[in-house]
Amino acid sequence: MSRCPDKETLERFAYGRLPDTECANLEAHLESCRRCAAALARLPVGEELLERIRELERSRQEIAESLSRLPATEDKLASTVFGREDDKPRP
Amino acid sequence: MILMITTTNLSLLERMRGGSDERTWREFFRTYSPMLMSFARRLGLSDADADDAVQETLLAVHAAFRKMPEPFDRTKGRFKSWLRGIAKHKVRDVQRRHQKDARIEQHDVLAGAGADPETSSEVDALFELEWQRNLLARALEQVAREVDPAVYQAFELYAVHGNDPNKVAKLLGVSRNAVYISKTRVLKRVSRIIVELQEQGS
Repeated sequence: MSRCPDKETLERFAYGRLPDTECANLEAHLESCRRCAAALARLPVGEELLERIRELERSRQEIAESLSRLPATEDKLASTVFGREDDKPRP
Repeated sequence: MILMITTTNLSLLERMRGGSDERTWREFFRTYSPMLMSFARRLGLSDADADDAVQETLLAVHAAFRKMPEPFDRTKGRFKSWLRGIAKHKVRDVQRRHQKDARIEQHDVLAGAGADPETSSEVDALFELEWQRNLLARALEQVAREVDPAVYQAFELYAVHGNDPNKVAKLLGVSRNAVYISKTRVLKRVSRIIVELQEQGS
């Protein structure tokens, strides 16, 4: 297992400010180091974005019934716009 | 719903110009219909009326794209304001057809939107909220396609829903460390995709 990163490196990784090349090495380390993985998990990272994701889920859940209509609407409109052999009047 | 987007969204708008094929049109429908449905519902339309508004909006969009001579200027948010204008107009059309329905009149936010800037800005703010939610939803869908399914599930169960990391690890057959890492990995990618979508103006 490679050496544990310092706190600053872990924070830069957590906040998405570590170059991709260094990220790969650090991720490999985190896979096997329970202490660093737990330290990463304790950082208050992305809470605002996570709350937006939870809000999105709630808002979509509120209108779930409306959204469930969309696949049928998509097929209906596709028929209107592009036509279907089945939909054309028979001679 | 998982979208099958094989190229950038800018090219989706490009492909819509001049008359799209059915696959492109369906991609466009799946990208924008949820936010249009939500917009119409939150303006007080019933399920059926909101469905009508979505259909009329997307038919108008399709017709306009066919005749569109130039692409949208992605730096100026032209597509967003154009879509917003059509959506508002079509919701108002549906509401007018039901003017005698008291249930709808109570929520007729758009009734004076043209004359009352305050009401209009309220509606525009609602559209903006739905636009931002849609960017986030599309980013999440893209990440779900890109990463290992176990990573995305771990992210949802642990980071979004706050389940115990040990239980999530056991459920998914991954290490506890992998559960912890999923949070950082997915959030970082989501943030990047949102920026890319914003830069594309779509």
